[in-house]
Amino acid sequence: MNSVTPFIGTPDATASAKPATARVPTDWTTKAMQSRIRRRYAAERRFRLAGLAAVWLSAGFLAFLLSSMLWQGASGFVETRVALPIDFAAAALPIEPARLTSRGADLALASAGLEGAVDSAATRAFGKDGEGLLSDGAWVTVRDALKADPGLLSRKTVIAVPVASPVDMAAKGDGPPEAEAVVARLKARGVLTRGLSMTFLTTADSTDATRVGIWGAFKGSLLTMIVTLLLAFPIGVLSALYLEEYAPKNRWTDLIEVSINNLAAVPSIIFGLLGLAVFLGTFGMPRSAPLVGGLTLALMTMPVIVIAGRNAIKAVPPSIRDAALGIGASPVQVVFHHVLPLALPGILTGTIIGMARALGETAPLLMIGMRAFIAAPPSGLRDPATVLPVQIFLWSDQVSRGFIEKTSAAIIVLLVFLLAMNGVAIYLRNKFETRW
Amino acid sequence: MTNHKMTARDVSVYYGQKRAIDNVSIDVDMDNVTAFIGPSGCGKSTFLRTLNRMNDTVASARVEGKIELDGHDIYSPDMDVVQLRARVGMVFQKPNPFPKSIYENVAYGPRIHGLAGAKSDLDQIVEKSLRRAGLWDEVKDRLTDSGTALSGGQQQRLCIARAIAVDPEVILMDEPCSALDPIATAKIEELIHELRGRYAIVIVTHNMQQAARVSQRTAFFHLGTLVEYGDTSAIFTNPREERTKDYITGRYG
Repeated sequence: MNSVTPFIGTPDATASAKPATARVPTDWTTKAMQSRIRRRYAAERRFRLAGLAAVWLSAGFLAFLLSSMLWQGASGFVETRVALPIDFAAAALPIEPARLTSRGADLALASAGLEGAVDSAATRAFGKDGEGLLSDGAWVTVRDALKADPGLLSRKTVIAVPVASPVDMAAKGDGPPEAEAVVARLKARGVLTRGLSMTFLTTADSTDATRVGIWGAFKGSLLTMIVTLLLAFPIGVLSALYLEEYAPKNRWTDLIEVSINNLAAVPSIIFGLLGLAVFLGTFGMPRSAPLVGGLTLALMTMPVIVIAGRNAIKAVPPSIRDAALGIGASPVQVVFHHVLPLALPGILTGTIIGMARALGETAPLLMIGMRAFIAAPPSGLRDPATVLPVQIFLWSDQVSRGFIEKTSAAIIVLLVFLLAMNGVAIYLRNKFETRW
Repeated sequence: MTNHKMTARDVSVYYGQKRAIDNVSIDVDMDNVTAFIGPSGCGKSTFLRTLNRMNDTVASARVEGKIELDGHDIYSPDMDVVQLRARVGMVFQKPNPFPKSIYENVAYGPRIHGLAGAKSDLDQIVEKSLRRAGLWDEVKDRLTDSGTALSGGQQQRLCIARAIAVDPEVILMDEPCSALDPIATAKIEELIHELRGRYAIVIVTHNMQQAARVSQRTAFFHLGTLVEYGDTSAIFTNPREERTKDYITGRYG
């Protein structure tokens, strides 16, 4: 086997030959050389400073936004209450105590004239304009207290009820002068208290700033996002997988790719018009419903997920596909056992971006009627509802001063929703992230 | 001769209009290690990949001619490609373990082919495969570690273990040592010696000494044609063709 020796070639003759003229070494100490080096360092310093300034500027904007929202909005979660002495025995409401624990208690109390009884108690306690001091929803607080303790019906008691919007504003230091005077008077009597507004956290829209709640819009957003995610995520991921792993590369798939990229750039209100024409017009779905909102936003979110998904799938090394195919995995097994798990973190990042955009979207939802005044939280996908950004838009349009802090409070709720959603997605992404 | 494991007759491979392999006929035996040598771009890897239809994944590739495994045409419609690749395993140039645990890397093949009923059967297959690949003693205490955390040579032996876990009849190796250092290369070559006889082994290599060391039969490819195919000792000591002689003496390539 040794008669031919591989790999012994003759050395290249020209490689060792000397060049014709002697080589002059580069002089690194000349003035021109020094100043060039200085300029390069200066350029580097400038670039670093500019980058740092950009980061600080954006961080500053973010901090300003968050702090001003918190500053303005925090008081939206708080309500001012006044201690209202009320003598149920004297009011003599025509109602049996036993009925207060039954299902029809709300209706029974309303028809028994509870609202009037509360108003007259206010007049008795705070003078002839006492009725105007209380929020329109004050009697609801009294009603709930009665339902919690039917024994009150035969007693005299003191209940802290929410005050009217101008008084509330004045108590928080930003009310009209006449309300300021009232607050000073009430403060002197020591009947004002403050507390977390359960009304804001549990009810829906209202015309009175003290009675509005964010729960309706929150639930509307939640339902809408669920519909969006359930549609856009699987359809987007499957499209991305098919286009990357199965589809032949030809003019048709090029056309589809260009169309999807364009779709991601279409202004959102166009999707609203599409939803209006197709879902409401052609299919006759209910207007203002989270179902239709979710469908419309899914149209908008899907291209984002497809694009992010395709990039993530492209980034999976081909050697992994070869490895799996090489031991006899079928193409579907290659995709679902290897490609998809490795691409999932990237796909989830795209989904976060798409869903965050959908959550903050207002324009397309206006088109399908989600800007209506909805006074009750939706109980299903087909009930009329509104969503957080639309609710913010509606409240910001209100004349009454009480709505300013409610608008900011709603923004805080929206941001918390967004952070929670992103938090979940980031958690999932880290969980699926594979170390190489 | 009747005991050829695989036979290729007049095989041509096209990528679109370009012909990459031109009329190659070759036999692969069970008891021999067959080496494919030749300069870069000569088509030896392409030909190797036609033997387990890995070229199917390239949309523009087209194969003409006949390749048989145990007398069955592997390109006939009744040949199941998934089964074929289980019977004709492959080890790639760059070690490509799955980013999963060492155990999962080896267990994946038997699992998708349903080769192990119980967990204990699977454990046995994993141990046997890792032992055959000469990796067991190095990894037996850390089977749950990621396969990608091993060294390059260990990763390649893991890939070999993964290939033999599905109990193939033929193992194709596409330059399995080109990314490894000499010590890891020596281990792989030793492993090929030990696997010989149990599996028909085909190895593509750039390294002629390696071909001389590990193979009994050698095929020299040049520009898509099979120039010479014969016993390794004959090819390296007494080549029939001028081109073969020029190549193995390092005059070109």
